[in-house]
Amino acid sequence: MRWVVALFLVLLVCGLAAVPHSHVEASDEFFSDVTARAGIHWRHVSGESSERYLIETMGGGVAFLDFDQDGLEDLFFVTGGETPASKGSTPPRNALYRNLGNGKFEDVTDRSGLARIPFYGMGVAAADFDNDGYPDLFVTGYPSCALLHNNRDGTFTDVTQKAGVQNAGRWAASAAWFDYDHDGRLDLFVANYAKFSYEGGPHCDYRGERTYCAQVSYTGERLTLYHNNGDGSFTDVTREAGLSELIGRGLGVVTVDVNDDGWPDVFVARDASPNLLLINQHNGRFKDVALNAEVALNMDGNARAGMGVDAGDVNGDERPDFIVTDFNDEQHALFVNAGSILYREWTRESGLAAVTRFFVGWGVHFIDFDNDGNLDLVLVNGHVNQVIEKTRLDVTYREPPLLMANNGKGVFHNVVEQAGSVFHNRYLGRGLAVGDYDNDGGVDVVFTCLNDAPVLLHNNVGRLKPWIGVRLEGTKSNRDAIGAKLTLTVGTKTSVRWITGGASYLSSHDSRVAFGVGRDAAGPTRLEIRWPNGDVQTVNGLKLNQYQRIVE
Amino acid sequence: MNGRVLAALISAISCAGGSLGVADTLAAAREHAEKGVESARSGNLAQAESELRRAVELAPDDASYLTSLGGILGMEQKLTEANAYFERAVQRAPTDPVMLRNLAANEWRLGQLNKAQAHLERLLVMQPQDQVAMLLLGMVSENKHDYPRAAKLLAAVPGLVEQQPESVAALASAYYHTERRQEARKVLESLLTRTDASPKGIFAAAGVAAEAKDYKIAEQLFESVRFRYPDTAALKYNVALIQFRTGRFTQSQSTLSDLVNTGQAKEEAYTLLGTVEMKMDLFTDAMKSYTHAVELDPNSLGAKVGLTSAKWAAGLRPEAEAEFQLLLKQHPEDASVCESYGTSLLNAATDDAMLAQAAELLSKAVKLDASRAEPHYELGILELKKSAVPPDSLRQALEQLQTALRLGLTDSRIHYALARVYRRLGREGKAAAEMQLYQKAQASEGHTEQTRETGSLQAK
Repeated sequence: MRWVVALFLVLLVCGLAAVPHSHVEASDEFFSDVTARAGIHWRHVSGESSERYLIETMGGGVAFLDFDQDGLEDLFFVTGGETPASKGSTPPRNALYRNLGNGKFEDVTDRSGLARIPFYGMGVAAADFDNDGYPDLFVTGYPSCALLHNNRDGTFTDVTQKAGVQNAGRWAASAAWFDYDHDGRLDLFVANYAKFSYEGGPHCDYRGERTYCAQVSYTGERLTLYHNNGDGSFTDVTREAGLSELIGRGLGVVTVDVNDDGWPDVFVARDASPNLLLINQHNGRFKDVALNAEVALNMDGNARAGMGVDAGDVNGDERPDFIVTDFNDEQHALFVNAGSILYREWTRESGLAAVTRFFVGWGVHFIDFDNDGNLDLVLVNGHVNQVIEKTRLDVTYREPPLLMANNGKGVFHNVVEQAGSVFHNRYLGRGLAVGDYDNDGGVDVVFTCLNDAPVLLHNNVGRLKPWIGVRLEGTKSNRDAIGAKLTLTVGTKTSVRWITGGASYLSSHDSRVAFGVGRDAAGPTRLEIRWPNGDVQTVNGLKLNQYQRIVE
Repeated sequence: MNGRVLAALISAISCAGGSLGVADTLAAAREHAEKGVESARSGNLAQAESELRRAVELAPDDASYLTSLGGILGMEQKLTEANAYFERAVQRAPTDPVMLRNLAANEWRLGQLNKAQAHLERLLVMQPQDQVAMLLLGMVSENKHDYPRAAKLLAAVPGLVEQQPESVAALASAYYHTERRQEARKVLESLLTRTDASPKGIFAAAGVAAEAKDYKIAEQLFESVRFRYPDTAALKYNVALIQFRTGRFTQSQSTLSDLVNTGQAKEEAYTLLGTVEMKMDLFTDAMKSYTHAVELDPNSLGAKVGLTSAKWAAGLRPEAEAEFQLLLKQHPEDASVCESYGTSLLNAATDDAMLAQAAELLSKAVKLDASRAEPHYELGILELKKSAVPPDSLRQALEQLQTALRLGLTDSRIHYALARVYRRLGREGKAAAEMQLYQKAQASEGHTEQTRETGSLQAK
């Protein structure tokens, strides 16, 4: 039952003070690379070997999460690992960095128990699956996954076996937490990639040089949907949900209410397999409408190499649009909602075609980096083909990240000149997460690189415009409020945001929402929240330039 | 057909023997004729021709000598002169089935299909069960694209058809063209176990299957003569072409590389190699292959257009643009240049100006050659790519796509595009039907999770 809570505050407003940002030097660039200054020294290890296992090309994920609930977003990085051909004396490790609040992070991995997992790691999805107030971690990989329960003391316990979420034998990429059946508990959606084995795989070369085989050499895998039973265990309901026949190479996943019926739907970006748009049927089942919605394929009816995906309203029509990162020449696709469940490809019109056609894209997220009220884009690129520069003269192996500013009508322009030096450099970018680690209203970015150090980017400009931050806390709904729809009206301007599950590639994000208010800051504010369970709550009089906790 | 012609010749001489008179001249003529036959039997065609010419000189009205000389000339590939003797023979023995059959056979070899047909029909009126006449008329009908009649006639003489791979190929062709693919495949499969059949005939039969896009049997037939067919370059090229058309780009590239390494590759082989490498995203390699093709045949427009397209794809866009412009100037009436340039622009379009330029080129391609399906398809897609798709655009898109379909573009792309247009027009039933056709076509094109082969690095 949907009901409207009163106009007045049934909320607990608790301002989260911004961390003084004196530690951030004044800068002309929108984003500054603060990785070293923050004390982040971890490096991703892919286990690259002469065997050229495809898994070595896929990279690792990263999560923004406040694991100790001190009001500061911390960081967790997933390493790849070892393969039978790359065993070394020092096994690679994941990393948990605690945000100290002064622009520096402390490596607390060893104490946390997160350093090593018994499989090749890929992605991470952070959420409070047991509603105890502390975020837990689901780590994907091959040939298993792990659920790591947050003990609320800085340590985590592997509860995979008890929970029954091993996803055994499969190669899992991105995962998303969401409450698909409105029971108030977060369920788990896993985008599995391909059938894979270290033995007997395909062999490819270019003029005698051993190379990674194209993804189509590997048969796609089915998805996995785990239902949260509420007692610490999960049930694999993939078949019951109607998902078991959807075989393909899934990589990115985002959950959002596409048709505004109050139930979360799922977009799966797939690599040389048709993308999926799974509409929630309200009965535990999903129906793939991607073909009819025209988000599955390109104009010629061929599947692109979908990697990362995010959802957000790029043109102010209050409906969710999708960005999907793809391979070079395919152009990273922007699908705008054309009403009902039909999407129109807006890639060329948005300006993304011209900018992205040379790049292989991975992590991606909508982000209002300058708090002007429009959702901009940040994404990372990096090729998988080490010999690409021998076969192309306009495509490089390492590629730059992109920051694309939105004019509010879904038209983007590359702001590389102001974005910062990082956007002039080239990386093998893979995972990407967004979060405001210094609580200054400017959403920051972190991305991982294959076999390299990650890059933490501090947002220097978000705080220069007014913003309204909210942190939702579900009571009847899931505690993280994943699936909530937020409609903020300031003066005459209305903005809609969703608290999505998943998003980007292999990564997990700050669950708070920072609305850039821009020039309309003078008007009255009104926030309507449609909670994941359908209840609607309205909040007036939100304060500017701080995060406010709103309890359902 | 030389064996059959020789047999007919011997038969004609034998028949003539009974009708000779006792005069010395005629006896001498007979002696020359017999020597001619003996020479033919021993393979000395020049001597046979000489002896039979002498026989004809001595007995110019003897139809058997005339037709025998025609037969020898035919064996020597002197078909026009042979025809004159066959005609003279028929004039002298108009109701003799042997004379008529020999004339018709030679006319068929000369490509005089209407004359051959008329003579064979006349013969069949006289002898409705004449199996050789039925075989020949079946071959003539196949050549005249009268496939139902060809199928009926050739199927009626299976014993004769199976003796020659060429006639098997003709029957298969007739079946393919009358939508009887299983029967076509069955007759072609019979050739796979025939070690005595001529490699040339089997090669031709493989070509028939390949033309009908029945690639599996076509490839099997080509492979069956791998070590016997003398023109290994042609054989490898055709195998590579099938591998390309069935999406096995790595194999096709490997076959063509073998061919190139023999030093026997012609322009068409390098052009195909370039096309394969384009499909594999090996654009710089494609540039090299097309460059070789242009070097081997500087007049090959296909190679030049391929080279320009490869440069475009490899990232040398300004250079490619300049070359496309030059090709447009040099070949203003050639639709393929407009089509390739327009398609390159359309696929890379990042703004409305590029779209407009693509539209102009593709429209010109259609104007120059309305029978080309691809530009119609691309124009249909172009309408769908417009920012807003008003009803007029949808109607235009539908028109272009239907034209492309009518012109033979039957791959999955066309059905997907039509499904999109119908859905936007609110014709859900048609949209669903096209979507089914799309999925069926995708499966037949190998676009399944297990078998699709695209991208730059293919598994071996």
